[in-house]
Amino acid sequence: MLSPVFHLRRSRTVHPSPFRWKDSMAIYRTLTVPLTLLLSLAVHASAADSLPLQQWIKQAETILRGDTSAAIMSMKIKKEAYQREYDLMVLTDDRAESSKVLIKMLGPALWRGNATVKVDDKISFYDPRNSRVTVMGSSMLGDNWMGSHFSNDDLMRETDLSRHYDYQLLQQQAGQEEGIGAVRHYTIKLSPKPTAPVAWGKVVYQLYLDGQQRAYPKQLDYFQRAEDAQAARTLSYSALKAMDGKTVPTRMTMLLPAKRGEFTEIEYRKLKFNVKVSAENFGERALQ
Amino acid sequence: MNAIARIAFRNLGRNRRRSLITGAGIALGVGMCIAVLGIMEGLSAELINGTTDGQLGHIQVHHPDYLSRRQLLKTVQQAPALSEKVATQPGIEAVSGRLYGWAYLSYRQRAIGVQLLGVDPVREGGVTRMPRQIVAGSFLPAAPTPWPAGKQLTEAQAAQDRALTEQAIASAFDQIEQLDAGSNAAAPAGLAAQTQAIVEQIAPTPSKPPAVVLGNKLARNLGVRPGDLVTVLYENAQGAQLSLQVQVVGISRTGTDLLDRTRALLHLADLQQMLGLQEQVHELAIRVKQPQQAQALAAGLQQVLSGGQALSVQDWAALRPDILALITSNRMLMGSLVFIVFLIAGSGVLNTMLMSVLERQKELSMMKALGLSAPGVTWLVLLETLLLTLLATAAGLVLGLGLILYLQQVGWDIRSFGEFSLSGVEVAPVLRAELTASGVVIPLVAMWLIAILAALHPAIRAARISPALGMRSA
Repeated sequence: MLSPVFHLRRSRTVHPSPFRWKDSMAIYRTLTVPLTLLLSLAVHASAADSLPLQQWIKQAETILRGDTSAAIMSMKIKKEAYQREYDLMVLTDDRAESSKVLIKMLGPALWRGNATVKVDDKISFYDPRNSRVTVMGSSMLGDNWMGSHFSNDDLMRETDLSRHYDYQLLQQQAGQEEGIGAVRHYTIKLSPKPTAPVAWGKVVYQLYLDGQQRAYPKQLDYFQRAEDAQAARTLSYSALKAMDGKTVPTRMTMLLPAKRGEFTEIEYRKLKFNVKVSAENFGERALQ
Repeated sequence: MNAIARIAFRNLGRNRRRSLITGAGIALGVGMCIAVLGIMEGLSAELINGTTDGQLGHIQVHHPDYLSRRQLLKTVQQAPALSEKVATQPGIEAVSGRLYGWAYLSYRQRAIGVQLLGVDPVREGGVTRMPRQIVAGSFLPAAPTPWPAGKQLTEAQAAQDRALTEQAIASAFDQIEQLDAGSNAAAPAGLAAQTQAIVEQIAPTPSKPPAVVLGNKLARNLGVRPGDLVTVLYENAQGAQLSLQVQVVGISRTGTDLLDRTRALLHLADLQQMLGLQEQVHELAIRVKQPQQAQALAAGLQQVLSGGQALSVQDWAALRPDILALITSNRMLMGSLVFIVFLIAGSGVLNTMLMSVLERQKELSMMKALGLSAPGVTWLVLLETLLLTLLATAAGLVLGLGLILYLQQVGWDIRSFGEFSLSGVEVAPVLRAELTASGVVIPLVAMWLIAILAALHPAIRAARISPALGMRSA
């Protein structure tokens, strides 16, 4: 399955802030937010420290995949220059240190049978028209996948938000989620560790916990730099449904605030956890 | 006056060895300076030609935002008509359209990221020497690959495509269900064939693989030779990833490492078809008849093209300011070198004349006592210097011109220092000098000025000698 959390190794869009006041606003915010937090957290300091933020994120991150998973999904891309829809089958295997992913395109005709597979740090691309497998290096990870707003890295889950970051609770409150009932919402700030191999300066992760303390992802805001006021992109999860006996968000929407009206939406049609897959399912024969 | 000139000439002969050594120093300085400036000019010309003839052309036209971001969609529209218009302007020799793209090129187990460059094989030869940079095989064929145009799907075909997708989804469902059983559900029969038929209508494959010319290092890294089929994986203007088989017809070598490592040349029409950018180019490269007029012609073209789409027209110096800066800094460096050489020659002159004045104190005093005026003495010394310098620079001129002639005909083989390029422009293995008026006049005039300046002090000193004291002390 697709990872609930997305990173870019290398972002290709740069959003220059047009006005100086935005910068000063950002500075103001970066100054005041920690300050108020510090004050509000001072009381619950010990409580907040003991919250397993990293564990929640790991749980939310892996909600759409078990050890292994198989899914059918549709992807809708809306861009200024074009819009299109793909139907995809996705197999994942996370049992080993380095995950394996296979994305097979089911339609429309122009792409039917195309497959992208990631094993170790190699991405291979198969085109049935000339029966050729092109093996690409991991430098392709930052590129957009098939003209969508998701990068190869997003879909191949090469980077992990439950590692490489420092976690800080910004906010928590009680709330309701359709299909679950009473939940508790948490907003967590992720700051990359100094030596982390990540592309984002800051990620704001919103998640919620149900009665059984299970974490669900809600929304992720990716910021180019830690001091940015506007997110470079926003990924939100919605449409909770039962899939293979588990309640999971079945819609993921990626938006770029700088490009109004553009988005890529993924909708799960079928999801099955812990299916029996082997290396064979990600090998060259599986591509064909 | 005549007498003074004769005395001056004779004085030079009195200490022949000293005059000869000083003169030889001056001659050598002037000769070497002329030769070095000649080589410098040759190198500058080589840099400019290497830049403009290798890939740049003298003038280029782009979409105003293309060069900063190099986005696929920032193209020059209606390129054929625009090329015609530019080509008919006075002073323009040739125009060639180019289209750029990015791709993965793969052969067997290797894949390398490359820059695709679509050029018109016929017109490009008029602008740059790209077609002559082939080291194996041949350049792109003049005619584009026959490529049927794609047709939209009919309503019924679109419905069939949707049905096929549903069929594929259903089959994928089955496959997922059967994963646990360990058996692989076979894809429905006929799905691939029907898909193939639809795809062939929307995006037909060419009747034969399009020709491609690879850089020599790229070809070596991929392990391909002319005749091999390689796969290009690229993204078209609509963001769709596609792959295509192409045939390597030739290997090129520009000498610029980046191009030789990452450039794949295709026929302009083929690349336009692949990217879905018919009649569009990213760049018009222009060759002008008089390279010196490139800047003025670029400004003129900007005016001529101001009617339609907003375009930016730039000459080579604006496109490659680094090359211009390199040439300027080289000139400055050579200027300081010439200055230092002449400073040394000047101090030689100063020494010689001072010695000769001090040696002849008694004689000069006598001349003064006999009625030669102080300005006359100054003039005598200056004239000696001038005569010496004139003779020496004449010898230097002969030496310098000889050297230049040799360097023009034979050149200076720098291969023993290894192959090198400046700012990405390969320098020819044999440097050739170029003779310019300034390259000869500057060393001569500079030498004369320095010699006279150096002689002023001894001359004035000689003029100040008091006749009585001078005769007694000697």
